[in-house]
Amino acid sequence: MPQSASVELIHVSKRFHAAVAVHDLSLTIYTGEFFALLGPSGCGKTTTLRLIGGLETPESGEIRIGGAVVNDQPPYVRKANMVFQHYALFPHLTVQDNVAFGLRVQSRRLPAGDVRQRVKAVLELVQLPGLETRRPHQLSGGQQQRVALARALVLQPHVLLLDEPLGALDRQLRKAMQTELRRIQREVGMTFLYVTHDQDEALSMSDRMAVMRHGALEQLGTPQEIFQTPRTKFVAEFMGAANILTGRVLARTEHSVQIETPMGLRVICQCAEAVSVGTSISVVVRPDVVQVVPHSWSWTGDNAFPGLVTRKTYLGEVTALTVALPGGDTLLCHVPSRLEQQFGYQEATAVLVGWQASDSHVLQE
Amino acid sequence: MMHHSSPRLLPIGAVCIYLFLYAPLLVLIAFSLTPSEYSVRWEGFTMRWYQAVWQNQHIQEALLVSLMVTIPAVLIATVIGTLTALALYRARFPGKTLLQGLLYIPLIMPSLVIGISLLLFFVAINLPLGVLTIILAHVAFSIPLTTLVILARMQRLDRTLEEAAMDLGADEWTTFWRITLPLLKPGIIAAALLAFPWSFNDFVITFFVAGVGSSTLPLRIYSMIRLGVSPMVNALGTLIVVVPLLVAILGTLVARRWV
Repeated sequence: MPQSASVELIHVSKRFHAAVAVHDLSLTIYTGEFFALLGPSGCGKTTTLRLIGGLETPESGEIRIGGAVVNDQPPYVRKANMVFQHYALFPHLTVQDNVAFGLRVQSRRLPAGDVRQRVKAVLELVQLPGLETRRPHQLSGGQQQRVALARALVLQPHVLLLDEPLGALDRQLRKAMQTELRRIQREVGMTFLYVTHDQDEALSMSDRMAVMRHGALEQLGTPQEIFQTPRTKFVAEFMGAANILTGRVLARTEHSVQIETPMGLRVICQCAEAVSVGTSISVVVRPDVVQVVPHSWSWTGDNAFPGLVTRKTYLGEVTALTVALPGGDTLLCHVPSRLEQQFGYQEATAVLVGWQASDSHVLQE
Repeated sequence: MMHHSSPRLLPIGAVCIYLFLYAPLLVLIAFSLTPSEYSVRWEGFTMRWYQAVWQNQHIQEALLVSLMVTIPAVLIATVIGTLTALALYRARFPGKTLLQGLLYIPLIMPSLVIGISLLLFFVAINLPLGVLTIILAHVAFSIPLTTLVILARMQRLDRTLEEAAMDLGADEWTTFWRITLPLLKPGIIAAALLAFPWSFNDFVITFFVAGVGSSTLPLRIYSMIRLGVSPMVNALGTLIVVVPLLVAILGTLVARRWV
């Protein structure tokens, strides 16, 4: 089934005074998908959201919502509603009146009974019934969050814009709300565009995601694609601690290359890209693909090196081991904690580390 | 030693300051409640001076003039103050900082100068002195006060609330009426509550622009004193301190419920 576009950005640029916030950004978000925009602060992700909502005006480019160009539409006409970072609930109105606000200011007047009905339904959807007469300051952070969500959802927009909506909540509540948001999105089938700087949030919630840097897209794909095959060093590092090995290409076959690091480590890595012998490239090896076994074991994989454990950090499900290799390179390895405890690695324990060439790949730039 | 003595000196100092501020007022209130004609000795309790104030036709007329001046002046100054504050907060135009700074000048300018200049102005444009000129003068010197009070409230306003309203479908006008104005309401009420005594109590400026025939309460009290201090003046003085005070306290309590 061909997917229809919910939001399209076509060569959109926006600058604030001298600083470029969004630069020549093109992006299509499909109807009904949960799309996450991920990036560090100042990468332009919030500006992108505000451009779609109409709270900022682009210098150039085109913004479409549901196929129609909305560049000249003020925010109150656009079928895109925002959940603000700090909720922006109206302090002088009750929960009921906050949620009903959008319905009541519409040019096409709804009968009061319909308004009440729809507010009731949406408060049930966000699991917040019975608080209609409260004021925002009488609610907890999590409840305020749900009111902000209900206030935007009740208008049934083409796309719901969420600006780091869970940023102000504590960790446990944030986890619960992630699941909750995902449930609500599936239930209403609405397009969600979710801005966050938390990679775990983007990975666990979205259907597709984009990593932004300096106002432009760095990589676009499914969470799995972005986590497993980061295209650039920036994405690899932003998605979590990664081993990035840089070296000169010694040899290449149809599907792989062999590189040598300045410290003499020779590594085989899968490679479909055009790289020629003698050039310098970087490859990424994620900590979770590296296996660590006692040094007496034999290993017949593509890459296997003896090493010494130099640091051990317990992270819960996994234990992070830093292993120093003979030439001086170090490798970060995430070993399942149960396995690690069986082997009982300590600092200065001699080990063997190894990974398959197909578990690593070449980075661009 | 200093460290030991200062905690005890501090409350004593505070008591002295409050005595200095309020003792004269207490004396005034005390003498308004005693029958002594010449206001130097306590001779028992009476309400007869208040009765005299209540029945005095000149005072009734002056009170009427005062209310006819102050109520419209406060209303007009509050509306203009709200609009001025909005313009100063929202709009970006050259000289905005200068304009905002100019608001403070009338607050520190001698009333005498304002009074004389307003008088000259009214004479120059051929406006006969009377209730109308008093109202205009009161509006003029109350605007800086109302504007600054409302501006202070406005600067604490969260702009994302207006953005949220627009995002939810409210146009600029609806956003102003349903979000901005209700949020500014405590500031607007505070401005009006401050402007009320500011206008009601004014003597100097009113003295210049009143002309003959229309006397506000402060002007009437002044002319009564010129004929000798009657205990009736004490009673009147007490009333115009205590009544606005009660109104202000009531207003604050009401305003607090809306915040």
